[in-house]
Amino acid sequence: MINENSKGQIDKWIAKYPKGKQRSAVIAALRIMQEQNKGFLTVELMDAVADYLSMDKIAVYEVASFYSVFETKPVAPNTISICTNISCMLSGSDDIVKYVEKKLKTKIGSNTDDNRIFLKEEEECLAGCCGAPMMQVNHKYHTNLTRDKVDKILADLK
Amino acid sequence: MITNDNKINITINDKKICCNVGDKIIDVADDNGIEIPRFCYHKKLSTAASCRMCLVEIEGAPKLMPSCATQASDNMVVQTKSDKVVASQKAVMEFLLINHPLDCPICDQGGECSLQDNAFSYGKTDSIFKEDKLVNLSSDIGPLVATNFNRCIMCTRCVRFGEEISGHRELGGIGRANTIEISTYINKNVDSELSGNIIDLCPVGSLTSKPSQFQARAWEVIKKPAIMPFDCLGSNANLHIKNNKIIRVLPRENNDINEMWLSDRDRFGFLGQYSQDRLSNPIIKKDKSWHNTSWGDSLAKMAEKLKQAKSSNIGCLIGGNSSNEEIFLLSKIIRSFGCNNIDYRLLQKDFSDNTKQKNTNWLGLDLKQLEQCDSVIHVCSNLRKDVPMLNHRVFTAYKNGAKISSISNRLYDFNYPLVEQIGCKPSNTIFELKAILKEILKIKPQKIAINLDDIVSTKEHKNIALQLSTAQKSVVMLGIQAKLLPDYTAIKTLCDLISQASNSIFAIVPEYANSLGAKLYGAIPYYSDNLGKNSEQILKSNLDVLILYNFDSEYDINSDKIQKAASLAKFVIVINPYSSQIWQEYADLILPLATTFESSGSMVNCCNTLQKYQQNIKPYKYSQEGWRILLTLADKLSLDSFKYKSVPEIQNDLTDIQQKIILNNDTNNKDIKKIGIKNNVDDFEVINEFAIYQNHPMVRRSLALQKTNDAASYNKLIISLVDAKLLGIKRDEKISITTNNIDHTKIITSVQQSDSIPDSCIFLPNGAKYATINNNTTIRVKESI
Repeated sequence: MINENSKGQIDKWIAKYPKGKQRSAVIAALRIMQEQNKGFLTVELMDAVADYLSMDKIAVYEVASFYSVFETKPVAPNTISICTNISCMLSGSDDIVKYVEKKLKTKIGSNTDDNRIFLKEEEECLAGCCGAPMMQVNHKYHTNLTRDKVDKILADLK
Repeated sequence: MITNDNKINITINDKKICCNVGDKIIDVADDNGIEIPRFCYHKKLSTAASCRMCLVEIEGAPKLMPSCATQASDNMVVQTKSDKVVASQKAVMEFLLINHPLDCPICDQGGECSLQDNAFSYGKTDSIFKEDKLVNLSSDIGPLVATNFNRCIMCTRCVRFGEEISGHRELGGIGRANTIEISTYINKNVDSELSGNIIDLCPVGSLTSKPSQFQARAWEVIKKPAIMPFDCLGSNANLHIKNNKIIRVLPRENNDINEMWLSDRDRFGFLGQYSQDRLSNPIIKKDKSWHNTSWGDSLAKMAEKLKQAKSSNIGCLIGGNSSNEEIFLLSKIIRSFGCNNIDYRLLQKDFSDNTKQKNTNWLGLDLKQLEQCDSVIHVCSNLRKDVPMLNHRVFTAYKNGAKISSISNRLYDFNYPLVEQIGCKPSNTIFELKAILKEILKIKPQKIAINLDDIVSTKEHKNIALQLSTAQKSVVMLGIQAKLLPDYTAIKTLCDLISQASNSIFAIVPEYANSLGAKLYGAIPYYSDNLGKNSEQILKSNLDVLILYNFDSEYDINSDKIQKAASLAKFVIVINPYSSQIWQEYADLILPLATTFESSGSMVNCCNTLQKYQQNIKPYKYSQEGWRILLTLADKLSLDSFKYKSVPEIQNDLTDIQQKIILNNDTNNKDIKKIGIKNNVDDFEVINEFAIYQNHPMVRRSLALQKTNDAASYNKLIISLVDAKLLGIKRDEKISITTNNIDHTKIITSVQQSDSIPDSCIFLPNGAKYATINNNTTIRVKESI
């Protein structure tokens, strides 16, 4: 379930915590597993993390369901998160969201029909206020968004 | 000022109170009769301080403080009823009720609900919340606990219980903020053997009892104290009774025994009371058919047959869950004929410790001491399922830092990590114990009359020896599964030697609710100076009269042997609450017995605590209490010294006997040289077990318990992965097993391959004799002694 590369990464995180406190690495482990699985977690993957960190399985489900960075339902491999918090909102993020939704013919929280792009659920502040409005595409920040810029970013994704 | 004994003075609502440093304000208030409302706080669980209902005003503190999470300090002045507090309580109640449905009229918690009570006492009559309420769907978490998460107020008591008491967290808070919900996340049952306790913990109607759903209102039931007869601990409980029917069972707090918990077996076992196969009146066999008869006639007949019988040709087998009074009277009646053929050890195979030595086999320490020990070795024990509340004490010891190891024939699932877990074939158990003894003797050299030269020990044995030898207070705990092994006496002797060599306490877990009472009051063949026949010998004898008292013919005893014995005996008398096809076929007289809940009596638990109980409900139809039946029989036999008129009169005599007997777990060391490793055989060794929900006739008939995964796990044939490959059996393949079930039919069961079982061993479902795979390969199993 957990491949060798992921194991190596998780072990690095476990080493950061005192012996016997390996469960502290759960968020890192889940993030690594989500990456390994191209964007989302499954029950089997969470169980594997629980076994690897000697935790109760339910405790891993709790963490995965608490943080919005973890997707527990299948999503498309490309993820777009558009910030809609105060700075971005004042700079017109609502318009960006509407534009992206229209262009991709999907809604916030869903995949595109061709199952290529996932538009993440309402995203909280991503700490890029100086470049508002902004969005994150596959872990890369794109700031000072305009419709043209969005067109280019989405075109590059294809 | 803090005094030398760590006492401080605080003031709550102008009342000066002396308390200990570190006490929580809410506990101090509780102890002094000052009411503080709460939802999430529970004295046996960790503090969450999440419900905010227990906020109090503390002089000098700028904000209200949660009294469950605030420690008392010297000269603290606390107000629990100030305007600020009352306003906060109103606001908190309004907040907690935001998403709560108004379905009290159809809620089982109604009438005993903290939310109702606190809303009435501390809430306000209206709410400014006009938005839509959230809806959380109920989920199926098994046959015991009904859920309605719409009513949940997120106190997380059930979640904390899983982590801190049952030792395995199955429920959690999934999601966050206003959409968080209590859930198992994946669709699964809550399988803990203590799961029923979350019903009591839930302060609202979110978790309620499934078997008693919609049966009665809290104010309609009468609460009567009872002692649970389903394991050797004798947990204290209250029966909730409506119209002479037990509706549900709730724990009665007793810190020396079950604290404030009950195992699921204790809580739901009573359902078997209302099984369809209860016997309703005495019946007698005439010309191969059964006829109703009166109590007077049937007991006269019994007396007549007993008088006619040759004294050495009377045999009596009695279930170990019978009360002291029944055991005492029955054994006294049998012995009045000069006969000692009485035994309660119905499934034991090895009787070589059957000596005149008064060997009582008890736990050897009380439960508080068990919690304080720092090292435990389980031998042939599935303690978590065998005696759940006893295992809870070991779990507490683990939380206090104890190290625990296990040696057993299957790798059982404990709810705490083990230092070492050794799984071995039944015939190798002796070898493993000898190896541990050898390692202990290396650490603590001493003279022991046993030859260990040819024993090869490994790292595991060394670790266990180290764990025992380095501990301050260690316990060697011999579990109930050992009683089923052909080498029981040898295993017991070795455990005794290990505990002597390592200076540990030797604890023996009794297998029945009243094993200790059976030994104290005479249900053993070596009770008097003349040695009688043990259960094995009774079953092999040609008897004039065979009395079978209070056990099932299918599971509580080897059913092939009992059928043979009953067919050989001239007159077979069965006294039992439940009927059975075997009894119908082989008995001559069947008398309906009242169950424990329908009788008065007493039992002695594993810690030698005598617990008395009263008759709580009337016996079913014409069945009678055991002590009444036996006293009437004594009268019909015109026996002297049976001048008792009531249970307390019998109990006076019992107390005298109990005080005279000194309990000990010593083994008969004379036989030590006979201990040897058995030769391995080609045949499969059968692993027999006392199963969690098969250990008592009533539990066996509790349908709710039989639907649990724990019960289902005993219906599978289990062999090791290696053997499965060798025999060509696939996982979950359906195979037929020939059982010694009532009509000898084949049952179909599925195979589970597991690495929890040693190679060339087989775990058969209850009562099964041997397995035939695909109707051609038969797994030959070693004939047990």
